[in-house]
This record gives sequence, C-alpha cells and structure tokens, in this order.
Amino acid sequence: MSTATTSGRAVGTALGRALGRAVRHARQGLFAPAPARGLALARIVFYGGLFVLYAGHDFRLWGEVGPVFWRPLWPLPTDVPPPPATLVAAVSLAFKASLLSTCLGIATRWSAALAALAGLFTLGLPNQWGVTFHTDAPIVLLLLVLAFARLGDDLAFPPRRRPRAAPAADGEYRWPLVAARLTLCLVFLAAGLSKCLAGGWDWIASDHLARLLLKQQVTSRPWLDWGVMVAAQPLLYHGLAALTVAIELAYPLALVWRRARPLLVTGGVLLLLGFAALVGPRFAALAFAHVWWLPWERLTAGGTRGR
Amino acid sequence: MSPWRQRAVAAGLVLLVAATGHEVITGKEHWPLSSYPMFSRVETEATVDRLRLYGVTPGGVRVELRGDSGELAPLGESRLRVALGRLEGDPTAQRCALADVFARYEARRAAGEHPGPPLASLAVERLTWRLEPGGERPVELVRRQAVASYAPGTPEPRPGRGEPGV
Repeated sequence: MSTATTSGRAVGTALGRALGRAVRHARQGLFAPAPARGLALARIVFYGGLFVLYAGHDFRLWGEVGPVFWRPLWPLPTDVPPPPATLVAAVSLAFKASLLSTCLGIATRWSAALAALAGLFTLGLPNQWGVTFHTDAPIVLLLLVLAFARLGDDLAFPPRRRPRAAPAADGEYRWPLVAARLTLCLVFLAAGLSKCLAGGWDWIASDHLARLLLKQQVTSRPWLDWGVMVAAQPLLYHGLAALTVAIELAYPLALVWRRARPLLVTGGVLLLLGFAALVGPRFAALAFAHVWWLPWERLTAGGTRGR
Repeated sequence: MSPWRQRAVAAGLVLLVAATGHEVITGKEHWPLSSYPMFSRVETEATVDRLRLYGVTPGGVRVELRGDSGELAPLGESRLRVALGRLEGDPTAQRCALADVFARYEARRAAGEHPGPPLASLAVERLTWRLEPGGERPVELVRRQAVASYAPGTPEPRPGRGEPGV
C-alpha cells in the first residue's frame, strides 16, 4: 500500500515537473525577446500580399445577388436579410484599404483591427449563400489574431520627424509570429484529423482517392487532368492518400521541431498546390500565408541575425 | 511585455486551440473556425451526379455555363449548383433563382464584364457519370435529365423527364 502510494506520488511529481518544463518552454517560445524589425517586415509582406490577392476581387457583386439564394450561417440569425449593395461596397473597400494601410504602417493598430473586422464581413459574405468555402477562413483567423499585435512599432509610415532609437527587442514582436504559425498548424491538423475521424483507414486503403480524383474531373476544375491517370495506379493513389494524411498530421511538428520545419512547411505548400492541380480547390491565400514561417525573428534593425 | 498581456495572449491562443478541437470533435462549423472536413468522407458511390447550367442563344445554340469567364459571378458554378439543388422541390423559387442569374448574366454581358454570348433562355440538367477507377472508361456520362428551364416572359416550366442512355 505504502509502496503504491509512494510510486503514485513519484509519478505525480514527475508529471508536474514535465508540465512545468513544457509551460516554461512554451512561454520561452512565445515571449522570448525578438526584434521589431522582423515583425514589421512580416507585416509588410503579408498584408501587402493579401492586398494584391484581393485587390482584383469585386466583392460588390455580392450585394447584387437575389435574396432567393440567401441562406445566412452562424452567427447570423436565419431571418436576417442580405446586406444592401452599398454596405457591401463600402465594407469591401474598407477591407482592401485597411490591408494596404496596415502594409504601409499607417495607423497600423487601427488599420489591422479594421482589416480583421472588415475581412470577417467581406470574406464571410460569400459563405452566406448556401455553401461554406474554407479557402479564406484561415486568413480571417490570422487577421483576427494579428489585430492584437503591435505590428507598427517599426517601419511605419510616415516616419517620425525625430526618430527615436529602434524599439528594443521584446516578446511583443515574437508572439504574433508564433500565433500565425500556430493558426496554420491548426488548419492542417484539423484537416488531417477530420479525414481520420470521418474516413479512418479506408481514406488511404480503399479506392477513395481514385474515385475522388475521377469525380473532381467532371464536377470541379482542377488545373490538370491527371486525375484519370493517377486513379488507374493503385500504388500511386494509395501513396498520395497516405502522404496527404501524413503531411496534415505531422505539419504541427514544424512549430517545435526546427530542423524538420523546411520539409514540413514545404510539404504543406505542395499539398495545397496538389489540391489545386488534381482536386480543384484553390488555397492561394493560405499558401501565401506560409510566409509567416520565414525566420523573421532572426532579423534585426541592422539586418544582422538576432537570437 | 507585461505579465497580464502575456497571460491574455496565452489565454487567447489556448482558446483558439480549444475551439478548433471542438470543431473537429463535434464536426460542426462556426466559420471562420472549421474542422476542414472537405473530402474527408470516403467515396464509395459508383456514380456521381451534378446539376449543370446551360445558356441557349437566340439561334438555339447551347452553351455550358461553368463560370470560367465570370459569367456566373459572383456565385460561381459550385454555389449555384448547390443553390439550385436546394430549390429543386420549389419550382417558383427555382425560377426566381434562374431569373436572377439570367438578369445578372445579361447585365454584365452588356457592360462588357464577360465575353459570353447573348442568351434567350437558361436550362438546368442533371448529369450522371459512372466512375470506374482503372476501368477502360473510368468516367462515363450515363444519364442526362432536364430539371428546369427559364426564358424571360414565359410561364413556369414543368419538371423535365429523364432521358437515360446519353
């Protein structure tokens, strides 16, 4: 009895220590000082890239669609009418303008908050007509997370007349990088787990992928018509199915396993390209969001490598 | 960085992880949170069917409308297909939907916003394909069924009949 109690305590103590180490490690990973320059450059690239991606997209057209198609989803009540065209036009313009002003560092905190809220409306609106698309959902999550970050402490516009010394390295400039990467990890992990839960082993071992590739040839618009060829090669489609699930489940390791990061992140981007090429959905913005994996925290104001 | 802000950031990220976990476990969607369930269900059906939209020109030429040139904007083919499928039991609503698509197609064509030809009417068909991975004809169209049609100024159409063996 006393031996069991003693060993139970020992296990509890060991678990407590392991948990404490994990928390310390997570805190260090999230909040260790990083230079403001890295986050500022990431801001310029990410928001500038999103502006380029969405600038040509005419969201105003959603204000012209007939109410017969309207089917609002959570969190909107089912009886809410579609938004008027003028509101759609104004908010979508605000979305694009706020992406650009965040990129340029103009009133960055307000711009980033506006980009998140206007993005929630603008990118969420196309899902209120009966079909939920998942291509832009990660971008909205990223914008919401980044709205709380101090993105404009460096490389802001217009430059100050009497420039102060460059902001000191701080945890404020590291956690947004980690949070953005965590958001991307959650997307891939959720997709992998969904396949395991809904399809199980059959997702890989059955001819599911072959049927899916054939189906998408006639119901979607993949870049390539190779689906028919792949569907005729069991070894190939079983291998691709296994690789897909493996990449999605292993992707979050990129957060903690720095050596494997290039392989896992490249695998994630190639997977998104593979979806577009063989299955159809285009995750252009999500693929672009992988810029958050660049080692921004190693950049310092002088251009040398930091911690 | 102040300790309270560190705690707030950590709590926010824990919340994000927990919310995503909830979506995965329950299979529900609260956009922008999602379990990203697309293509996760195992395909076992030997056939697949989809609604297709066609435009008919004044000269009687049928043109498949798949939204490649923005002619169905902003809905696009997949959203329109799902919407028309949802409205199948309601001919009035379906006609109203097709009238909306037709009006926007013609208005945008007149404004030079897509290169499609002028149309006199729209037709919706259900196409069924047989899938046979590794077979001699892996994807074969086996059925074409008229579902609905719309022409401005005409009375409500009756549901079409199936025409097996294309």
